Amino acid sequence: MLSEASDALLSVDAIAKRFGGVVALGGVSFAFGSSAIVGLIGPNGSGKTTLLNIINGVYAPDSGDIRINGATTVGWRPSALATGGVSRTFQTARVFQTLTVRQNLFIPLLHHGRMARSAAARRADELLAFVGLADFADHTASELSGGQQRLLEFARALVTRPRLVLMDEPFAGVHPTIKGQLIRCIRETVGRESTSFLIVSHEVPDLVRIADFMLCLVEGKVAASGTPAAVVRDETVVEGYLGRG
Amino acid sequence: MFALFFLPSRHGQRRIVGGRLATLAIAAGLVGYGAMSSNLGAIDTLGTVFMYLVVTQAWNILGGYGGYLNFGMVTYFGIGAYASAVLFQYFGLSPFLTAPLAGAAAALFGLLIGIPTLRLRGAYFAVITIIITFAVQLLMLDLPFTQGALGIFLSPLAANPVFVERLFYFIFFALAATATTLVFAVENSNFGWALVAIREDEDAAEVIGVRTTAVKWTANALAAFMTGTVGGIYAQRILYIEPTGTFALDISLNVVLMAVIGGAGTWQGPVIGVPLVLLVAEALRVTVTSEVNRVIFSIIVILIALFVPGGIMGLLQEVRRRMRPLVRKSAGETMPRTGG
Repeated sequence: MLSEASDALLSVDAIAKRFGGVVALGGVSFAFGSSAIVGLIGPNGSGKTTLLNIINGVYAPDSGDIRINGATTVGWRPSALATGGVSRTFQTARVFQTLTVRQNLFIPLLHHGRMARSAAARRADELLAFVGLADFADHTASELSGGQQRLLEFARALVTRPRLVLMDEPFAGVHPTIKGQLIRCIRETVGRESTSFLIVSHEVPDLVRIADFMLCLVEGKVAASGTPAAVVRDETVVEGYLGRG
Repeated sequence: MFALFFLPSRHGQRRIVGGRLATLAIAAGLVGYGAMSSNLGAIDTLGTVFMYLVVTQAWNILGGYGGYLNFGMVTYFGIGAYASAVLFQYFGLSPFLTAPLAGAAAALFGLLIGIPTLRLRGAYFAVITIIITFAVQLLMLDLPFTQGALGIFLSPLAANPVFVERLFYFIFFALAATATTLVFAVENSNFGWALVAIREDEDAAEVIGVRTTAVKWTANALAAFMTGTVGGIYAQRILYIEPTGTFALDISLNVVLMAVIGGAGTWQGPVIGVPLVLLVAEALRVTVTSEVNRVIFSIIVILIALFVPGGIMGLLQEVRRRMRPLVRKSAGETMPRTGG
């Protein structure tokens, strides 16, 4: 537990999931509160993305409970969770390719209550300036580079002011400049909006830099949790994931 | 869900005012022609154009904006036609009262069949819509009250034939105008943007808050209602329906062809595509055999898919974009054409 379950923003309790004979998650539990950046690491196949998909409502767990601000969300669809303040990004940026950059941000705004066009435009432009894409507002998303598409997807995840953002491999294959921009944006969002982030990544040094807490999954179970420094020194994590040297 | 959200900029307003005036002029011309022309052949052909326009606009909602390619629109059309014919035949309901009931029957079928089929995507969805057409066609052959292959004969309206021809012309015209207005409203609504998000990436749409299942069902039921309604009127117009002709796959294919050639995912696409395809089909019908006709249409579709994936409207939008690159910066957000 990284936080007391009673005041947790996200509480994951004994989540288990199997795909046929394969145990993807074998009773994962943790919790954290607002304004937290939590890193989730682990070898390939350890269940990180499955866990994200369960929290996000894409998969239903076989057993266990997920609570967001104390309310059980198991069985909620991703769209209901989005309305409830949970957003996410994917392993590869999944932006709406034929829409303009600004239109990509309008769509989530349209589905979070009625917002006047001017207010939606202001919010979209504010986010585009925040992530450094203001000059590309009228370009189609397909015209952006891979890194810029990641920034756009990140902006789309933030545009509705979510309480929790789930990010799957946000730093993979991204230019250091854009990676720095993402890290700055994540930190500023935590400071300004009290948003929490659960970030899955293999870029451990980046996570150590940014995260307040860290979890390591190995074979569907939490092998270690705590501060980033403690987790990366943990014997099980070194043995099961990071390796020596 | 249908709230109009994106208001046009001042430049867009000027363009829209011009477009509306042109649309009104064309509509007035068509009304005048229908009222005064004595060329019943032309009136009949235009009635067919309007009928196809309704079905193509209906297809456009889920197919053009939502990216779900339905190759079985004739199923809704046939259900509407049969519902209207059965209600008229067995219950003596007025042919024109049965039209909305025919639409409701098709919408109900669309809702029910949408539960399993709208879980499928891409080619799987397209194929299942064709299979459903054949299944419903077989059902109509076997159900006792549809009179099997013999079909159902309907009594003509007790009125002057010229008046009847004009009456159907105006009914189809009104339905086509309503369908086009409805699709225009969809294009400018939150609902329309939700459909576009589904077309672009359904999983991403869901996680940003689009209730994808509800949006797809609504779109499908709306399309079924529109198509069923026009199918009901069709039955009353031709006065005889039987399963083979009423559920002909050609109708479904024509609808997709019309939308794709005109520009799927835009309200103008079917307005361009329907008369164009019917005109070319008519020209080919009198000049080449039906087999050659099909080959020519196939080549046209391949060429469009390769070189103009947005159809004629996509081409026009691209030309306008290139000619006035600075306009987009200040213009209101407009729906992009379908990607291909």
